[in-house]
Amino acid sequence: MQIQSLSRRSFLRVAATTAAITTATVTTGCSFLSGDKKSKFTTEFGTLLVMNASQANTLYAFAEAILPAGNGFPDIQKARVIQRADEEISFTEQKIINDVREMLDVMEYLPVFYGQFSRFSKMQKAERLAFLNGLNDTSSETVRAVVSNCRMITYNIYYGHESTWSAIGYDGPFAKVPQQLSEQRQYYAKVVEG
Amino acid sequence: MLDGIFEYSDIKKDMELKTQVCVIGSGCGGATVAKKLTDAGIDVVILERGGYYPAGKMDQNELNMAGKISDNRNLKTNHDGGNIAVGGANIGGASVHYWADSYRTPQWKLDEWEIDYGVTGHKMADLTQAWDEIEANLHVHLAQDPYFNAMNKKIKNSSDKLGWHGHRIPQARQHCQKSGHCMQGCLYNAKQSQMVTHIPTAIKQGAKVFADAQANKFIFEGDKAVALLVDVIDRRTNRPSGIKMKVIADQFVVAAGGFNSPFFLMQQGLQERLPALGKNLSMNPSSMVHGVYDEEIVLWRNIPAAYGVDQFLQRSYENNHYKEGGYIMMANQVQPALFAAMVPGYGDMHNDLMRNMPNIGGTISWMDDIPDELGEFEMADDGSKVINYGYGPKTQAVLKDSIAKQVTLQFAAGAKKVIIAGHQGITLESMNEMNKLDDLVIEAGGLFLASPHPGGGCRMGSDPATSVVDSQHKVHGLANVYVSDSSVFPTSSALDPSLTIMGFSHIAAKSIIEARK
Repeated sequence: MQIQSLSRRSFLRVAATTAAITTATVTTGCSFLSGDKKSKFTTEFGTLLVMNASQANTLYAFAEAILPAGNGFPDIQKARVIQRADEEISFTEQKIINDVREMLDVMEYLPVFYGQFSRFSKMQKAERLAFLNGLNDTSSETVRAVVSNCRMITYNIYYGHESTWSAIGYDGPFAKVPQQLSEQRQYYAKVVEG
Repeated sequence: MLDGIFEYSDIKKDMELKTQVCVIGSGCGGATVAKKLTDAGIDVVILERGGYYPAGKMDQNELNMAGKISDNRNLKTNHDGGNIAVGGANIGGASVHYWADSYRTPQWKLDEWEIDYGVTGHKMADLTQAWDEIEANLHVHLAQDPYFNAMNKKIKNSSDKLGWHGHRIPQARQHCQKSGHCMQGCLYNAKQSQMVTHIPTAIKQGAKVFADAQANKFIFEGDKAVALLVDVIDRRTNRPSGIKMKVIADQFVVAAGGFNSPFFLMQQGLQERLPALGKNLSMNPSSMVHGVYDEEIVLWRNIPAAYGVDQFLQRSYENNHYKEGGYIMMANQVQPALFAAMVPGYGDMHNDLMRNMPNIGGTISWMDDIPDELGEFEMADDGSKVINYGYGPKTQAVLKDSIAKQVTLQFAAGAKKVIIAGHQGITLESMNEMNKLDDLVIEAGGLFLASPHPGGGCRMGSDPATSVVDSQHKVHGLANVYVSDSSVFPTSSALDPSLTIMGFSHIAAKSIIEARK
């Protein structure tokens, strides 16, 4: 696989195009509170507020490629990776939300830039992992940024879930007090459950 | 209202406040300046954009607490996505999640700021009395033996073995329970954050504190700010609720932190008259090295950093060429979510390391930024903040050396394998493989970095062409707006900046009090 040097500008052009296409074809969005400009997206992971169905699928495909499966580790659904990522990102500043959406759109079409005939989420799991490993030495700053941020979000959310802790020998919070859901977590749950 | 702090749910309609001094920000800078002003009997309002999360609202859960007390849940990065811009966004600011390291500014750094940047009135003699008072209030003391976890013991022993100088790190804590959750906020009120020290004192002395209050725009009459427009943030959505506040004050102090104060002033349209505004951004970029040990390390318990290796604190040169140094090294501490993000690789490689987490140790180095390779803030077309921080050749050389020294330190500590925290995932199995570091490329997004110590966007100095505030902390060209946080530092503070910020805030308070006479 030949690694090309890719400019940010060319990525953004693709991202804008793919985002427009995917948003038009798969999103069912609606404003759920007057004065609040957030939309809801119906996906196979439930209702999400940041990621549309295509973006959620891309993140799932990324997570499936890099996360452990079995041997005491929970799967992506049990660790609620997509849902919790969506929840956390929905409360960040709008620029981060926009960047995450763009990042996932670019990730989805990245293999095409590298001469693959398939979008990222359509590749086999092993092919996705091989593709990501092949990017470790990329000279493209944009590619590194996209992949780094996808991995950061994925690993952060997955290993932040308590179902992963016994497999990694982590004994959990020191105080063993019940979780205290913030106003935001409570609000998100109320909104997506509708 | 809890504990004297107003939250969004207490503000049900637009309101107007009148006070003598309005302080924007409640971290080490804002809380300290407010405390000193109330000491002098001055009426103060503190505005904090973030929420109020006292011990009763903490649960030590890494993701839950990042959502409560960390700016943008630690997802904000610099322009290339490789450097996490770590900041606070809550009452008490970053001091609620910091490690409580409490260093006085080194003499050589104060000399640098005076001689090279024209800072006056901030000499050691000016700051010592402030630090004596602050250290007493915050119970600062050297880390004692019970607070050395396995990694800290290894750091101390291995640096002794190597003949490298080190020291016990001064800590702002009292009756610490060794939970290892400094970054999740202290459930025991043992860590002496601003939330449990200067803020309660300021409130007791009459200060009014508003959480969920985002400073928006100054109203100026000539060169004087006469009022500040504020958006109340609905904590549930983390977005403006639509309710507004207007604060009328004689003087204003911008203390929103190194990542926010410069950008706030940029939003007031001051960049044209202050060309240095938003520039000269230092970040103490921190490189990390992970080590795999035969025995259990349990990096996530006890205090983060009890021992600091300062042998290479200052850069040294040979024949005018950089030789080594320019950073402090200490043990790292991360809980599993952040740890996983900082470990390179995917699939089995990453999984094997995560399974072995109890046996993985880590070190971190905080770099003293290179003065002529600093970053800057930029306002994007949509009005959002971009943090531009690249890695010039001198910065690359220092980061590379800091990694080499961390590798050396960990092998001396008995590591069986060390892994550089970065995209390349370079792994060494002995000192004989040090040549692998020749392949280390320091590039945008290459290393996994975190930067919790921003400074410089409102640099202090005498010339408005090259600085933003004067040595009285007053913004050049404005009659009554001051800055009191790390953004006034001319360059990086080299060490954890909290005590420097607080010491400087004592001086800022004196300036404000003097100006009122």
